[in-house]
Amino acid sequence: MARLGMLIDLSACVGCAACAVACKMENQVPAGASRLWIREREVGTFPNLTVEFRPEQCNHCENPPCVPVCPTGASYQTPDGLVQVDYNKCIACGACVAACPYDARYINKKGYADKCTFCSHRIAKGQQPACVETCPTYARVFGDLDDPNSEISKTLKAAGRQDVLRPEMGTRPKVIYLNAPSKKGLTQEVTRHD
Amino acid sequence: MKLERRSFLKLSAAAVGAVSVGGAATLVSRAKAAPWYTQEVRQVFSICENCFWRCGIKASVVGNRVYKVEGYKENPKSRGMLCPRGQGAPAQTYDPDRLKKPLIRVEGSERGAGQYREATWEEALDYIAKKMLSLKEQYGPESIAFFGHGTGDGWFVDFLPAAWGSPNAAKPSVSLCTAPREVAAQYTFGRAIGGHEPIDWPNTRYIVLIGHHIGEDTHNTQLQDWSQARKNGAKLVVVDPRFSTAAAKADRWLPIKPGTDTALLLAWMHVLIAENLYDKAYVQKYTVGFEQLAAHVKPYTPEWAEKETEIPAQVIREVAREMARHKPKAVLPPTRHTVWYGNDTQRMRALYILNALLGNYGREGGFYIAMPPYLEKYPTPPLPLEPNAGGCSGPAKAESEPEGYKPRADKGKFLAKSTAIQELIEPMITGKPYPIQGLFAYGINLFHAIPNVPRTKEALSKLDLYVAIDVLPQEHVMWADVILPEATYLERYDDLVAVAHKTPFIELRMPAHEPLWDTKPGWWIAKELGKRLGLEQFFPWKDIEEYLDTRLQSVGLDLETMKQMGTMVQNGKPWLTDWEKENTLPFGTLSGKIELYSEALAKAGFDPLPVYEPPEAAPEGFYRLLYGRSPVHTFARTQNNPVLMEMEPSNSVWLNAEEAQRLGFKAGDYAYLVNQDGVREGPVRVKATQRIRKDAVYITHGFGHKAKGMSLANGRGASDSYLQTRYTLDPISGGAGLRNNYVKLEKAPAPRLKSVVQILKERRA
Amino acid sequence: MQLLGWVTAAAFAPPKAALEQDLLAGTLQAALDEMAKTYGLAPPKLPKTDLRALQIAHTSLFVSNPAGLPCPPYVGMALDERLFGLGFERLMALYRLAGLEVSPDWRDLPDHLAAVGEAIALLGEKPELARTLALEYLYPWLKRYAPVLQEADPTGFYSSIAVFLSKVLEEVNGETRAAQLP
Repeated sequence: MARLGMLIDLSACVGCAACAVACKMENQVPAGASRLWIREREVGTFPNLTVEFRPEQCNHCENPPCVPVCPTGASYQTPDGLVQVDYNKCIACGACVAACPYDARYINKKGYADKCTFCSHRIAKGQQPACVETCPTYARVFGDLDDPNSEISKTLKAAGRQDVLRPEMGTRPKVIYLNAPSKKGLTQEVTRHD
Repeated sequence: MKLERRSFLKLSAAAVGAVSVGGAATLVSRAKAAPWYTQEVRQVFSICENCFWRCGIKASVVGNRVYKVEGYKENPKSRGMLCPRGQGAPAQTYDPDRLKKPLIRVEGSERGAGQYREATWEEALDYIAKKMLSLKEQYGPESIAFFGHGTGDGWFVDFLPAAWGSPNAAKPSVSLCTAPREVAAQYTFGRAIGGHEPIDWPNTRYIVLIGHHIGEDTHNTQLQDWSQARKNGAKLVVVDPRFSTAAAKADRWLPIKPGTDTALLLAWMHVLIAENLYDKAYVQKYTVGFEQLAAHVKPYTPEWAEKETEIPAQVIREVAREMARHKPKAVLPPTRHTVWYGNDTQRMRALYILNALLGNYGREGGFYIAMPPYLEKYPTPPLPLEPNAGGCSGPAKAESEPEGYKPRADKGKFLAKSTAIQELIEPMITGKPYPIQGLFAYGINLFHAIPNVPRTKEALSKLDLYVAIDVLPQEHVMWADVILPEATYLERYDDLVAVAHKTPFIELRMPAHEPLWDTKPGWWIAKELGKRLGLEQFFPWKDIEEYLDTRLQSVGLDLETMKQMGTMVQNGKPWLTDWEKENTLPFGTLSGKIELYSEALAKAGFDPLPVYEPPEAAPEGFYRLLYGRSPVHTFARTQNNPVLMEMEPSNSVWLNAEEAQRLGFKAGDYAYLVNQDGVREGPVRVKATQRIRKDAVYITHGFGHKAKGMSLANGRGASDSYLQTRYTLDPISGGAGLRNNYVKLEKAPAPRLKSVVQILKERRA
Repeated sequence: MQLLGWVTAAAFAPPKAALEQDLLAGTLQAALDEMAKTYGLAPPKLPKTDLRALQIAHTSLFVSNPAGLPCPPYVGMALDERLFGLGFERLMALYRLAGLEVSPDWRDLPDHLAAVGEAIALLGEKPELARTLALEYLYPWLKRYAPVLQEADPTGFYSSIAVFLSKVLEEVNGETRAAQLP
């Protein structure tokens, strides 16, 4: 069994949102909702500045708070470690939306909770997730964290600074950020509707 | 009493009599559950049109709908990746605001009042042709100007005017963008820089960007290569009054005083020469005029430059030495948009000369030499005029016009042979040097490209014929006498795109599906119009397939094969060593070498070596208006795209945080921008930021649309173009320097605008 | 239902000679009168207007308008928030099911009011399918845009027909719901 995860190198990311638009098109995400979004923060004072461009999406946590709260079993973890939603079982009650500390889920008007799937339909065909494939800055690496020969494992091993969002929640995210530009690590998190 | 039967639909032979509505419900619910990628998906090769970079794409099509586009590995521009604009581009094709049918302005209504009636293509084209022929009769063919931008502009700016006989054909991408860098390159290297800046990013070790917004202008290949260079450990220096995205990735940021770049370049040359750090062997072998240059830059010490640029002399020295340490793998890439302050050809000359001192032109880690691919034209009788750098003159390279044809209306105003689009506006108003009474606008946004919008509007109101060919009801389009709706890039063939590159290549655009509505491809419009103008001999092809097939045969291909390939790559000659093997050099200058000192410029009465002119000062209480790009938008053409507008629905004005505090602007406040001539734009949100100097403000270009027919774009943000009521003409290139415009900020109420998402949702019942 | 379909098709198609004939001969007015009688409604009185005025109005209401297009004439717009949405796809599925094909001469979208009207008319022999088309596809558009037409139509031609068709479908809807009650 694989343990699928994603690296996002913040020293490469320019916040262009190619990933976010690719996701929107690939998954036909409705207006007003997103599975993937970009945060931009400036740190410091003129002229000693840095800017953090940070894409965010479902972290496919190893310990996902959205799964146990689901009353119908629609939210579940696959053997490969993806957190997924079975649209047929979902009753759109919103418990998972509230439970996610990353604000990664939304209710699709078709009647189910929805979020990033790591483009499981593309993975099944041997393709990369749409966000990874399109990234013009090579900021993203997707693959099996358990396979020592995978690109993701090698990149992680060679990487400098590594962070995850809200480590204190104990969710063990599998979206890992490399090379946060600020010496203090990732900038403070707030909900995405800030 | 019987209504006549209409026939938009037909009952097919396979009409299933027995199916009940119950069956319909099943079918319908199945449609709900099936995402597009589970259906039968066709893959079609094409070329993106959401900027001019022209990445090769593969469109995923289900029926009459493209759901997704992607790059493909074999295409040297996309290499399997796309920027946000490319990813979101298909949404435009399905925009309900699109132009759908040919329209003729209601007879007797005023231009700009926007009263139209639907017409057939026959009627619309007949109308245009009749008017054109009568203008030709009365004033001559030069009285019709042709402006255009986009992949299809070849039909309307290059081909049709050359066949028709008007030299007044122009693209905004010349004198409102690249003219200074191209002209400077001609006078230095004797070669064009060309569309895709030929920098050997993967091998470079030291990059100095001057006002270059990589990451904000998401030119796909360049962004990829620049990212790769940084991953490879190249050092990055960014010179910019603003802490741009590129600056955020830089090892050094030099927040230069706006307009003083040439001073910095001269000081760098001074250090390289004074400290003997330049590439002597290269300079000796490949350049002329070093002695004059050395004498010229002698007074321009870093201490002198510090006073002009506000960059410490020590930093200037250090960067010069670092460049020299990495030469020839140190490079200062030219930007694309180079019409800044009016002395722009000289600034670009300074940049190229500095690169030459580093010995990097035609060498790894510097500039590669881009070659166009081999591809023959479709054989036609010789055209009366020759297309030339976004305009017509001719015959090719001749100094004078052929018998019976007039010179361009802007001739003599500046040195270069390219057409300065903004200089063709005055003749429409004054009739001097001769009347321009007709205008075609293809794809160009007249009001968001050409400075001094009130003057452009006045010119439009005086024309006898104004034809717009476009996809969206942009503000300037709805002034036209005849509006021709073009099929989008996903619905049409275009001419082959031949790209000068490290590996020259040819790429194909083919339709992913039939044009929606009553829209037509540009090639068809041009040919049909040509037929009506008595120019059929110049359009001998049966249709576009036959045209493309014939051209492809000149490179041993045919259309059917190309449809399976998308891109055909050829071999280039990127390095000087490749040329030397053939006992030649690539420099097309008079001396056959890189001209540090330009005899040709001296003869024409210009400075043969780059001279610094201090920028004009801003009036008291005003900020210099700087502008740039958003990564998700291109020019003023993407602001009605629902997907891209959801990502970035407006621009904001960047104002130094201390200045914002001084003026009393808090987070979330709005301002009007009022320029030196009293033109007001906005309201626009104030972005109080540390990321910009105190003497300038910045907005991204392309917002501030005033076209109510574009429901998402209309009224959002502020337009830099409307605030550019002045320009400073670069007398060498004809470029219109746009950065000598100034604004002050006035408090404004928050605009009462529905959000993009709200507008989208309200279209529902 | 068949008459409602033909009226919709006749009224909302780009105004050409056929419409001019209908207006001159009074056939469109007669059709409206007959529908009014059937449903116990007051018939709309079509304004006197010439073809050129209708063409200008049709263009500004349904095709292109620099002041903003008030009424995109596609039933999908009222069902989804955009063109080619789910509602559009369901309509296409219904067309397929009914054996309807879009004629290649029709240079507009298959969910244009005129096309939907014609589909309703053509499906006169499958009244249930025609009723579905009218109530689930045409009616939402009329509900959403008839009030807009009342504001924006300079001729009164389009608004009076749209308002009347809305009323007819309100009646049909009432009947349908009554029939479904246990």
